Amino acid sequence: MAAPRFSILTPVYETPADVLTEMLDSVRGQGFEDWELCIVDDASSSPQVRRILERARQRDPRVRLSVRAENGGIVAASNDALGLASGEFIVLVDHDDKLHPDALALVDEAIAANPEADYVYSDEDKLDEGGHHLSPFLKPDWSPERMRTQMYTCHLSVFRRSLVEEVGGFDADFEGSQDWDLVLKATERARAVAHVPRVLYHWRGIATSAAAGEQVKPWAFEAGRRAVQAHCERIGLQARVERDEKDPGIYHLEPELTDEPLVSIVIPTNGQRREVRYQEVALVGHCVRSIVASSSYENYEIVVVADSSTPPAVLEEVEAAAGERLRLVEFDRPFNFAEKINAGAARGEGEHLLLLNDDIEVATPNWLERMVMYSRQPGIGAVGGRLLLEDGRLQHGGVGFEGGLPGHPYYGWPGDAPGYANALKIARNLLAVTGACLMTPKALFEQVGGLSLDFPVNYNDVDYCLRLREEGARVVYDPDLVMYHFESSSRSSDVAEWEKEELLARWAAVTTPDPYSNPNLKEGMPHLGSPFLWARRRLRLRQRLAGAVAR
Amino acid sequence: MANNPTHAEVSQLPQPGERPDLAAELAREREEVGRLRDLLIARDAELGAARGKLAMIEQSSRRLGEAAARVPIPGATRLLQGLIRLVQRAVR
Repeated sequence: MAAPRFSILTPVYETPADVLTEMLDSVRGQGFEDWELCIVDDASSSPQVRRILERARQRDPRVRLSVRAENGGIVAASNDALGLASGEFIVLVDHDDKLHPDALALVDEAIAANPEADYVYSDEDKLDEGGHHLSPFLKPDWSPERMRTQMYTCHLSVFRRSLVEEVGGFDADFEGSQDWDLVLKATERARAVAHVPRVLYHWRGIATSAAAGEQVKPWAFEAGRRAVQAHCERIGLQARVERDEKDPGIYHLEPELTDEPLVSIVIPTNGQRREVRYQEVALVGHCVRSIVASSSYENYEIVVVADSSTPPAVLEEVEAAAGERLRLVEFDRPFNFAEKINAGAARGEGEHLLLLNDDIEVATPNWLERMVMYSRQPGIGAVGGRLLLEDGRLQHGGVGFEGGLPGHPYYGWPGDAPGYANALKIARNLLAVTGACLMTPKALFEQVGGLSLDFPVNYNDVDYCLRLREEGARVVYDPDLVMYHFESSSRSSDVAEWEKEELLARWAAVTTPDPYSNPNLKEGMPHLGSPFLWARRRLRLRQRLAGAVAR
Repeated sequence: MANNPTHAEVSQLPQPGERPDLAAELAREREEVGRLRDLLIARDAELGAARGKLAMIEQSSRRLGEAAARVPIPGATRLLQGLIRLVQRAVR
């Protein structure tokens, strides 16, 4: 018999009969039929569990069953199930969860569309005790940075079997988070990762499931932290992994740099004065003072690109604040923000460039360490952070695209709002971050020719990030890098029609849809649009019809 | 970050020994202004938090309104249920 496309691995232990039956039915109800179900009973004491599994095996030759003589835990049972598998891909399904009837068909389609995909994941939701669907988790496409601060791919997860065997299967050192560890190890080597933006997996939040929260399996969350720490060490990311104090499912990367490369902070200015917190200040002076007073990083220079009209008193203020670190560049050409940045970047001698608006105030002492931690990592092209308005509301938590045009999802929300699925509290990849505070490796900046002069006012930062993506570099949002941004103090925030048209002409194919959003999200939140409703209606209809036929 | 006086402001302050009573008075007033400013900043932050929550609620209410507009027509559901009952009878 030829090896099947999919081997579904399901370790079973003391599963309630009705729940186990539903899981088995959801596998047998798959429209795509080229699968085998590899069940390992981890020495359940309940005779009912054994009876149900035996019956399932007798009814369907695709069900393979192994019974452990003694309980070995989830990792041992998962590895035993892996040993039974002969399929090209393995599919992880927990004993108390359910698959959408189209799950395997849609995963198969995704693999056919991307034959190099070694790992595939889908969206998911939860089932409550009454079987109601709750909390759909609508995920972005592959986001390696997010994977380090949140086990977001979770269910449904499908791996190429050869890759799982290559990385040694499930690791007992990370019992409870062995799946996260496996995803990290597999994706370090995967040729491609695919995402199916459909809810294909229903995770049951019963009392003994990790879906119910930390109190059920506290060790699992600590194992998750260790798994990410081990991953950081393998890939050379100079970070210490810490658990979030409030939310057990999210983690933070704290920089642990072995050295401090020179950073050139490029600040364009025209010397504008403005009231900040009821005191009139020259913005650039205020910005530079906050950098000098608040930064724990030592090795940086400040390149101020000042219009020739900048008042001398403002420049004196900047000189007094920055001292030896200051490189002053006079700009006497007609206004072009991109050109000013490029002029400053050319003068900077740092290994990393930090583009900074003059209406920014530093609020995180290790902001430069955080940015360097990411910026020095191979494959990363730009880093940005969480920017707050003067009254603490959110100004920027990453740039999102809708209809091909960029915007700031969650703009104006409370500064500590988590966003949908903790999007604002975790590191993640985006198509772009704002140029108001953006670090980039200088070599990459030069390689792509700096900011495009075709966008003299708006979108030069977005265009830059998209060009980085074209070069294969990722853009990262770090939620723990917090700054105040007194927003567009120096220029109008209006975007001209021609700017929108130019951006769409260049990038609509990449930004529509935004791969770091989800077709069922709008303004960063679940949107009950037609694709989502269609999926749910279809599922409910199938269930009712199946029930009618069974009766 | 603390807001320091500008160079111009510092140079206008009376020097020690020159009108000490006025200098002390100015220092007290400066302290009071600082205290009031801090209160205003704190109030702005509270206001910001409230405005932020309002923005969240407004967005959420807009989404719910859009979702409500998409609720299927009751007649269509009844028709579907009737079809299901027909299937059930046929199976029996």
